[in-house]
Amino acid sequence: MGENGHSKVPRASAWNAGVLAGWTGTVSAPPARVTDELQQIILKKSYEWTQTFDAIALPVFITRMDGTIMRVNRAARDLVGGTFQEVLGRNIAVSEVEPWKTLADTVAAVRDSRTPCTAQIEDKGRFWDVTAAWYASTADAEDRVIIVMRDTTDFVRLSESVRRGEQLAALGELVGGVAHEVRNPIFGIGITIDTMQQLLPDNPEINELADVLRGWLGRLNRLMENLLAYGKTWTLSLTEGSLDKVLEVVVDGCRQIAAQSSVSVTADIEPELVMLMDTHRLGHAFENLVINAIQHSSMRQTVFVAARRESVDGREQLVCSVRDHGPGFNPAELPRIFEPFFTKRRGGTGLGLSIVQRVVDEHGGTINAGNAEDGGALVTVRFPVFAHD
Amino acid sequence: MSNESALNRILQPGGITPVYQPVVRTLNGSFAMHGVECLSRGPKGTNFESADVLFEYVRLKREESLVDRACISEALRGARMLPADLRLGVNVHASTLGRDHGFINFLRKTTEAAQIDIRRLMIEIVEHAPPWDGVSFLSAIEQLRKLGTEIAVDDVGLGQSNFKMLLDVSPDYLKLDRYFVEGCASDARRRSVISAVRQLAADSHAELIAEGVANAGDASSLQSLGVSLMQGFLYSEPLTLDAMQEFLAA
Amino acid sequence: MLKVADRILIVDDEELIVLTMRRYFEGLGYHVDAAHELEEAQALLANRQYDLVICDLRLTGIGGVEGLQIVADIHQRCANTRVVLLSAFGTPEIERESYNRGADAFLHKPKSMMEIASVAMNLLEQR
Repeated sequence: MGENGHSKVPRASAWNAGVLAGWTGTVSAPPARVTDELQQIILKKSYEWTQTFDAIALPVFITRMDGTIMRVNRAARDLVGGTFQEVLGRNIAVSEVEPWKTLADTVAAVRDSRTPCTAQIEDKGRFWDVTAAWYASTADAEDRVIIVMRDTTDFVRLSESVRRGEQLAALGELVGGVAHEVRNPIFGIGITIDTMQQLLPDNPEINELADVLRGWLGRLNRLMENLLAYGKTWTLSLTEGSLDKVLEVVVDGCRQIAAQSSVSVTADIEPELVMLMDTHRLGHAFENLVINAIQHSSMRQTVFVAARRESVDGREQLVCSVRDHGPGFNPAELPRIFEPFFTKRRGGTGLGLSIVQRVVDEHGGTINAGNAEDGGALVTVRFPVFAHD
Repeated sequence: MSNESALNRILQPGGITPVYQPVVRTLNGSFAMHGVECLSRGPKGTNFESADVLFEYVRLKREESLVDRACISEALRGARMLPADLRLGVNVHASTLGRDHGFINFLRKTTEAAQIDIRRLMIEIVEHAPPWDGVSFLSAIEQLRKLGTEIAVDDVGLGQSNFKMLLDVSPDYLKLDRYFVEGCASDARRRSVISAVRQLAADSHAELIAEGVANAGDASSLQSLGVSLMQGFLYSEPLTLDAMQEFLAA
Repeated sequence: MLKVADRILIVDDEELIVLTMRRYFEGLGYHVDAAHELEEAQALLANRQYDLVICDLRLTGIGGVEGLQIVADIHQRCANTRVVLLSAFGTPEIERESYNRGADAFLHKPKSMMEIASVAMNLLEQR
């Protein structure tokens, strides 16, 4: 019968019609030899068809109008899970969650409108484009919906990264421009203080106040330097390096700061995590994350830094996480956590996390911030690695 | 803090103050008024109060024409108060004559408004540096002649002043720069140059006006070389309108 | 022998900065002229002598490096005039270019008046 489980042979020509008519008994049965040959041909064609169907890497579902799955290719079966036998006959609304929810909705839309429909699905960081159309079935005159899914995750990520890059470039230009413009007023105020002091008699109180003013100017100047550094277009020099070594250096460097607040740092880092990196910048980025975690921890708590190699969908990734047991992220703030100046440590510049995201971005990675199941913040960074000989 | 260019301030009303320096005809022991040269001072209290700085700036900004017009307007407005028989020397850049095609008209209108006979004007051409349109320039000279003005060429012997221009323009006066005048009494080579230029002028039916005459010795040498028109501190520094009126009364 | 005060020309498009720097240097006994535009500075340089010029690198809008022009002008005119460039945005390339063209010092804003004056006085003493 063939793996795809279809129980009827599609009508192809008048000659076959005669054969079918024979099977239903309206014509006298053909000789056994002809039947065998026909069966072979039919099986062979069926097999070729199945191979073709399975070769399509996009999940393809063919359902009845009510959503009953009549046919799937290998990719679609893998998406559902289980064997072909287990999948066929189920409704496309496999469960309430994505992607089944949207798939079911799409089938319903096609059924109701009798026109092709499209949809987008976002599910746990994966993106799909869905196209569904209907066709009149040849076998039992019942119409079918054919659904094709296309994984657009890479494309979406790339677009977002490019857009973010452009926004950053625009922001960087603006920021750089402001920083330059601010230099002259800072200079002007400074030299005015100097000149006033020159004109006034030497008075310790006046001198002290003048120094206070200079202190404020110094702070403005530092902020401006930070802004300028943020706004500059970065040139990363990427060389092969070990993420594990970078993390170890960061963890070592942060231990002392941690000790000052009686916080400890634990590392669980796999060796030989090789990737292309700008060691300097990457180190700074992780240092930022670890120090954040330390500063949000209370006494005697531990900050966990972990890194390992993972295989996701056949692709290699280096996954690092930094977690603490502090108050965690405010869920309301999470969507904007990487925006410049959105959250600010006292005395900090508010640029920390946005710079981290930028570094991760420029290394082709992704960063995710959230709250761990048992409380505390969890920041996960993933870097794709490409096997090379 | 204003970002306004200094040029705007110069061109505003009151930005330019006219002063007048007598040009005299020496006769034996004394002299008679031949005319006045109208000079300009930039806004008081600024770097442009000095004419040298003012005009160097104007040339760098390439706005000679605008400023020439402004200077002439101010000068003629004040000159209404002066005797009607005095010649009025006004400075005009060669580039203005070459590029500002409305300039002659402007001259006509301004003299009319100030009720000054245009034939009293002595157009002193300064800054002969190109680029300016030779054809337009010569055409402007033509028109000036037709209007009956006199023409003087400034900085003779210096800068871009050249023989070709002298031939093309055929001026009524050649103005001799102070460089050749100062100390000519004791400098034979200077006197030699002066003599040559005077001859050149005479051959073209033009007269020499010596600038920067600061002492009697130089004045005397000039006279013995046949130069009788003079301008300089020996006679008077540039004067405001009021001071000029007093000077004339004396 | 009576020493004539050194003459300084200060060039910056910000009037307030020029004002303040002028006061400071006059307070130290120098004779100071000031200009706000490139052409104004050039007109002054054509007609007067200065011992030192302190000039902002950018005298007009974004992208301007007019100060470099001044350095070249001065270098042509009078080799004995010292030039200090002040800049709010100088890159290493611009700084190098300035020295190539003959600038005697390149200072990054913001700097205190004391530092600027110190550099100026050293340069004036070297002459």
